[in-house]
Amino acid sequence: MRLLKIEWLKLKKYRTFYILTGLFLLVYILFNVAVNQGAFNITSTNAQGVNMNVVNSDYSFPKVWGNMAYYYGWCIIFICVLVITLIANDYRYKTQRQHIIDGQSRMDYLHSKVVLVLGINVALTLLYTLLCLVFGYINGGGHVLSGTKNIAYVFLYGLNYLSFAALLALLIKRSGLAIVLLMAFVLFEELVVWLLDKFVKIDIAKFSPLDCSDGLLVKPLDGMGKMILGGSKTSSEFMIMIVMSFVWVLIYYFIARLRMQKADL
Amino acid sequence: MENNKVLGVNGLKKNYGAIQALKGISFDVPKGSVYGILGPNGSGKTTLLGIVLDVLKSNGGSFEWIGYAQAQDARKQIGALLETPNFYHYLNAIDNLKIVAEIKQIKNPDINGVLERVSLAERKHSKFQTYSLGMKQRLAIASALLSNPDIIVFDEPTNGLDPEGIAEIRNLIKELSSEGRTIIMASHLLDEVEKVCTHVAIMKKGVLLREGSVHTILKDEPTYELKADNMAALKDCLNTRSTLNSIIEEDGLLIVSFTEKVTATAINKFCFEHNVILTHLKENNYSLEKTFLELIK
Repeated sequence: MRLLKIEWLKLKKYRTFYILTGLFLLVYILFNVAVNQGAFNITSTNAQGVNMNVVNSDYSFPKVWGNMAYYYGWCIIFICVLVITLIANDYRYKTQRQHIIDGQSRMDYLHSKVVLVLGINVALTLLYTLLCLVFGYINGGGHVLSGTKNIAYVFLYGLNYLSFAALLALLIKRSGLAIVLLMAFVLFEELVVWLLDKFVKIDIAKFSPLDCSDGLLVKPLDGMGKMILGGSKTSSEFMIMIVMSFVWVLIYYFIARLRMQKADL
Repeated sequence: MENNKVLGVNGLKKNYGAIQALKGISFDVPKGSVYGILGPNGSGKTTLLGIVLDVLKSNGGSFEWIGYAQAQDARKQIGALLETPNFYHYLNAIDNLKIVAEIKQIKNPDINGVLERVSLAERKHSKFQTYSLGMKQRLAIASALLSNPDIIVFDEPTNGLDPEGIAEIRNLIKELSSEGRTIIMASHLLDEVEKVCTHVAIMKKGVLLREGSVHTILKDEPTYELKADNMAALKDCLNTRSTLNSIIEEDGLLIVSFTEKVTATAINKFCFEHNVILTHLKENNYSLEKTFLELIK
């Protein structure tokens, strides 16, 4: 709690924090409103009565959980940038050095960042839950609780991405470069996974660092979309992805720990 | 002796790649002293302080803050300023010091008190980024005083201050010392060390050249350049003399000083009696400035 309080003292008067959080909220809400209103879909059904929709625009319970989880995955980049900026600030202002001089142990410093990532992630997961409830109640439908496992997936997804962003910031120390590398990594990972699948017939998506969490947030397809891109995952595949997400978060933690123990600050 | 020192440094080494920044430094800081670490830029002063404050990792040797089980507990109590004032640019003085107080786990921090002590109270609501270099330095000193520390570490505390500010800070250091606090201070200014320090360690290129009370190190005593065919024997024989103050080997010469008044004749006689024939003997009379410059040359 004391570590969280220190992080909060730094955050609460930091304008960039409000700008990035605001952008995240704005884009996230508008995106879902747009999808809900039928963006990306041309017509609902063709002359033969076949559902021509690509994405699912059904925001009633329980579908709202899955839909909003998937677009959450797109918008989290704003919060990744926030986490990178916050950690890189400690290098830019050399306050991380000062914290150690002032008596924080190196592990305390690392754990203050763990607490920061966890705190932001919990807040975001709550926000997601709240927004799902709002969208769901507006659109009606039953079975409010039946899609709530998505809350856990959103938490895990956020934990993986934000921890990875935090690790990049700790290793690279400069926000600009860390942000570019994060984006490059996301693209690069997609490409490598795709190429391996295509040419070597090995599907590593469930095991690779960020992709393993991507799979948890399922594309909300509909009609034509489902026919072309469909294919659902089995529960054992979900289990692998859940375990792998945790494994990678632990790996990031131990890399960061090693770094904090040894490095000159 | 154990109870009378606050910091013991033993054979500290530090490499930056192929560069040896510290080549095995050892010294003790006596309690209640104003301990100056004097040396030119790049002599390893900041590296040394960085290691004892745990922001740099040594490649050998050890250090101990006496009386603390954990180094971080010592650092929480110690007030320290290393190299540059490090604060959040977008926060004002009060908010920055609140963070420091939280890290140091100070129950009721006297933030206004320390800001007044460094004459920064008027600007306490201004953001750090609007401060002049001197004001930033003052805030760093205020931050170091926040825990009401028994031990204070200052790295170049008068850096960036105008003459008035320099005088103010030097007076503050004297004041803090008279309150019984131990102050460890790095400086490249001989004049500064001479004015405020009780003890001094002179460093050059990662080596500790001399260490002791300012009185004995920086006094106007002559040094002697000595040379003999058998340098090892010369060194041995000089080491038997109890009044030997310092002995440095440089360019094939031994540069020595004594705590007593000696003459060149007496030294020559002493060596001869120990079966060492001197081939070179020269007396150098130095001012403080000269002693220092000669040492770090």
